[in-house]
Amino acid sequence: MKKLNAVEVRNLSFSYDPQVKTKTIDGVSFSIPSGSYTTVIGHNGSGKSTIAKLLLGLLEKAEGEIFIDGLELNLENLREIRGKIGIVFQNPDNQFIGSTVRDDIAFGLENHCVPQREMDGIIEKFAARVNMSDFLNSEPTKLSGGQKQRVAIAAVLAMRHDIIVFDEATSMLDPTGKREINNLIKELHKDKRLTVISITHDIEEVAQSDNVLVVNKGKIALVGTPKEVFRNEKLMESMQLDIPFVYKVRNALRKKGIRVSDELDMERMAEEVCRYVLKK
Amino acid sequence: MPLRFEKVDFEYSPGTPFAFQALKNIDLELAEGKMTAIIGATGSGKTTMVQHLNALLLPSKGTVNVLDFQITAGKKFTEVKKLRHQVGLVFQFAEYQLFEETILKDVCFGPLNFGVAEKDAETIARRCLKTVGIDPADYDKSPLELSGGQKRRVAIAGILAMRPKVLVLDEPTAGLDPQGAQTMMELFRKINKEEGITVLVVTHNMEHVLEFCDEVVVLEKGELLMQTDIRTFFENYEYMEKANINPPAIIRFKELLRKNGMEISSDVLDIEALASAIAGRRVR
Amino acid sequence: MKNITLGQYIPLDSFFHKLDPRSKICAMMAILIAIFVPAGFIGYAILAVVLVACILLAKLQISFVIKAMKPMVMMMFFLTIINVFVIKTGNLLWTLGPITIYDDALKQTGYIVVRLALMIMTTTLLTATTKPMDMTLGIEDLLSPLEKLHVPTHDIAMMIALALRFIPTLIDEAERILKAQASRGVDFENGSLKEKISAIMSLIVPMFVSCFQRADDLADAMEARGYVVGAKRVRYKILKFTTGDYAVIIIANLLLAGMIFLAVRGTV
Repeated sequence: MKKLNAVEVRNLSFSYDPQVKTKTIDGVSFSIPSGSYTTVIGHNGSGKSTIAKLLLGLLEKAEGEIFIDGLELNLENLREIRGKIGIVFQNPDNQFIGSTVRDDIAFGLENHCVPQREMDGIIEKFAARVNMSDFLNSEPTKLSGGQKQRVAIAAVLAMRHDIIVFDEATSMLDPTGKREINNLIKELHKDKRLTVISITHDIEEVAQSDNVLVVNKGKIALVGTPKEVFRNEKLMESMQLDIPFVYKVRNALRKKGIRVSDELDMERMAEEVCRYVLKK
Repeated sequence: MPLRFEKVDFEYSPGTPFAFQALKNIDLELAEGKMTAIIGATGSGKTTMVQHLNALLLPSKGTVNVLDFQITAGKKFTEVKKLRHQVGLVFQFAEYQLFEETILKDVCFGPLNFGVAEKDAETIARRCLKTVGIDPADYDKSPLELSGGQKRRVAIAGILAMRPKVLVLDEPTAGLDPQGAQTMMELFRKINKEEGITVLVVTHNMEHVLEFCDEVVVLEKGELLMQTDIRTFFENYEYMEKANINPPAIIRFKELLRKNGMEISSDVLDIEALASAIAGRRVR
Repeated sequence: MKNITLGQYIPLDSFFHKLDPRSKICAMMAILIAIFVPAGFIGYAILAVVLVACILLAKLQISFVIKAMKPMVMMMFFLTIINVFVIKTGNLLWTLGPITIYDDALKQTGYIVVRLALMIMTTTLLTATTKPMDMTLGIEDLLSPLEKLHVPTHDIAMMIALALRFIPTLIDEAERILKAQASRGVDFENGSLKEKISAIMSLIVPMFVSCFQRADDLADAMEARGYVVGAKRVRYKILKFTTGDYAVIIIANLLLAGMIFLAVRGTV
């Protein structure tokens, strides 16, 4: 049997204001394989977050079809869909619903009618998973941005989703918080049972992902592996998108007559440059 | 006149169970006309420190000298309004301070508060909006119609319109996309260079520090850890690792090259120079 | 803004902190009614002794409770003045030109002041020992019979809970906007009426904008985690009555009965 795609989108359109001619999302189609780590990039206002909200049925699509784990999203099965796909938003404060860490993780379980006697076990298990066991009774004002995002992740994990969308989940955090969350996501994805869809501006995170979707003006401009996407430098630049530092170095070296491979890892690139230049 | 902190302490909610000493014995002088980065982990006292420059917070101990003003602990400071006219402070997520019906009116708000005539305020406002790159067709729109990045620009124009001699920016690029952040930093550098305004920027972004600033001030747990010029700062790789600072990509790459046997001069701080330096080491 | 003691929860470990919020609310209701029973000063003395004992049992400091009464001092002062001028019965105590003071005026004022003080002691005892979130749960449970009349008690409780959750966040936000506008030259203390209005607008408009933004985000976050308004949910927190809870309710009602007895005996 063919393995189902985690997300399958066909001809999706949406606009916030039907009176305006330009659509926010304009005839988008793409698929995201189960168990993959997919990054979505595009400058602010390109429509990335709108796509994320459409996938969860938080916005109502105008046209097209969305399949989550093979199940077509419609108004009747929203709850079922949201049992399969979860999301972590950008603002750590605005998604902390409970009055304590414990209550916040419980919130989703309450909604999905998990039996009350099982809740404590689940809460403790997933708080441990994100390393927040010592803070179960803490209030949000006592937590850092990174800790609040870890709680948001635990709350999503506790609902046993197969797919998690991260909508710029680290963009409001300080460098320590960013690193913590990025490492946590990577670790959660390690056994490939979870599909990660990360909307991000972090070009190094993009370089490490399996697939990249580039969104521009409500359309999918590029799809592929990081290497395939970064190869289109001119196009990336025209969409106000950055390319990784290593590729900038590679281009500058090329102008000096030094040709190196399309290696994306900084460490290996440094080795290669030294090997090539110093003829070791 | 430079900006000078003399043995400054600051304590939040003194005498209560919530008392917290945010600054400890800060001794610091910042030269005029430079662009200085203030860095340090969350909670190290960066925001607390810069709010002293505007008398939003008054020192618990010590003296803060800003331009011709002197704010001393325990003494009543009476020239608050004059000081705030000359020191522009851009808060984190500054877009949330917009409130007037139109963009132009909002930018005029600051100058009008400081007694600038209405007509002059408008002229200055138009000029500042142009500086930050807002389309003149939008001047009469409500600030709420703009995108997040544009709102931030309007808020910054609102501070520039006060024509401050010192511009203090508290994480001005937080939450912007990389390109938006880059253009914003370019704008501050331009203002700093062309108008000779002293700029202080609180930031976590080391790429920005390297590319745009002259000096770095490092705070840790309310104490001044280090004040130095950019080049010296980024030369000391071990120190950055110890202080949990993620160095800019070029510095990390140079360190990796060094580990593989290729030492690159500390003067090399941009990609072009790096490529030339590597090409110069070529063994034929 | 953070120094308000009235209604503040004090995290301590005491008999009262461990009680079920429902029993505390019921007991408070009984005591509040008891305070309004005209049982004379003996009755009030009994109530006062019991309440002080409870406050000590809850490990609260008397100074904390006195601080909570501060906002009421002005009110008590005005009530005294009004009473002195309005009540002209009983024995004439003192005349100063056109001003005459009768003993009934003083008595009435004394009653009101004592009642207010006792009420503040009672409510403070409840709020200081009950987490806001437990209070909402308690209120929700006590109102649950109204659900049969199609009153959305659960939604009301959820709204109160969210409001409580966001109060500290919004206070921080207000402080930041206040400072940002101050550095744009806004003077929140002095100035003409026009300037004052503009100053207040410069705080209120941004607060509104930000609240709407937060509400939007919060609604998305809640929906994404499967919340549907009015849908069936399982509740995580279960309230449980213990012997202590029954005891507190019984004692409170005995006090109420006692006051009624004193009042009836007094009038007969």
